[in-house]
Amino acid sequence: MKVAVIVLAAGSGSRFGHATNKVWLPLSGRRIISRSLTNAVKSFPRCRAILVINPLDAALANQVITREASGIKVELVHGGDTRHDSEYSALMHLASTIESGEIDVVIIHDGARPLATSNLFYEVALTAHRHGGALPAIEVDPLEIDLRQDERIMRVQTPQAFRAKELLEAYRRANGDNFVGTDTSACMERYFPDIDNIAVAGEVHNVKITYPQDLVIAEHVLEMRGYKE
Amino acid sequence: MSREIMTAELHCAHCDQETLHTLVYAGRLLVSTTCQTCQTQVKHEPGDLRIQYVKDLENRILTKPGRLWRRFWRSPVSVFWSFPRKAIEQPRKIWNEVKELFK
Repeated sequence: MKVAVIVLAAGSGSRFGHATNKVWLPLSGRRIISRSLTNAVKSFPRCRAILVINPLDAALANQVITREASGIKVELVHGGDTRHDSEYSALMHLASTIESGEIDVVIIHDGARPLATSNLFYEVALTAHRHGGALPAIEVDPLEIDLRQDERIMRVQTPQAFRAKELLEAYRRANGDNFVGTDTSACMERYFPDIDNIAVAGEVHNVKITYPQDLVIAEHVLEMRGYKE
Repeated sequence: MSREIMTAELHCAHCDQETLHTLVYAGRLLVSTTCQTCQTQVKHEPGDLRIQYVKDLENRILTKPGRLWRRFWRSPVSVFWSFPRKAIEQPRKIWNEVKELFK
């Protein structure tokens, strides 16, 4: 299984010019993004690693990669205004190798989720290779929901993985139609509804750093893990 | 990084929107975050943070030789020249971190 990993780090922090994009914040001694990147590639020794950044962060990205992820050959790609645009830029960067069959599966991960383990990356890649698509999901506790619901509600996480050729085709068609999906699976479901998109067991600690409290929680989780992964 | 202050955009639960936050770090640990719009502060329990600091310091000391070695291989000249100054500054840096924790 030949894999490419795309880590998205172009999005947040753009509205306030002088603020640090949260993915570049330190988390127990290393930047959030370098933890996301390291965990993403750990299970795939020869994978392509693409980091999608805001062009304004290029110098910082080079500095952080050199210092904290020097063992990983990271390819930097400039992202767009939306998550969808950033994914499209990264896929266009990989297009020739996908078309030549050198990549079977593409994994897309949100750089603000530094606690997704390497096992989860491996699980989604393997499932996508077998079935076409995979995404981690966790069932929402019914007590968290105000309305009475009979249906089970799932919370979807990243990394999400898909067969490379179909994913590239979906994004090319979306670009032609001006369709902007909320996440990768939304775009795949629109253009390849017949491809199985299998939910694998998500991880409770795979939080997306959004609220200040998430940073405190993430520090505790890293402490529990002995500062590994 | 004895006491580092950073600014980042995070979602404030009180304002219910993305706002600028001031983040204060002691060493590698986050001491507090403050929303610049509503001044809501989030921080570890002080006792909890001190315990975590001790564990983190232990991890920093244990992993220091490896990190220094990797840095040396990456840029031997700059590490060679900066090492004496950094070694001398280390006690003061840790003292400043401890002071930050007991503020």
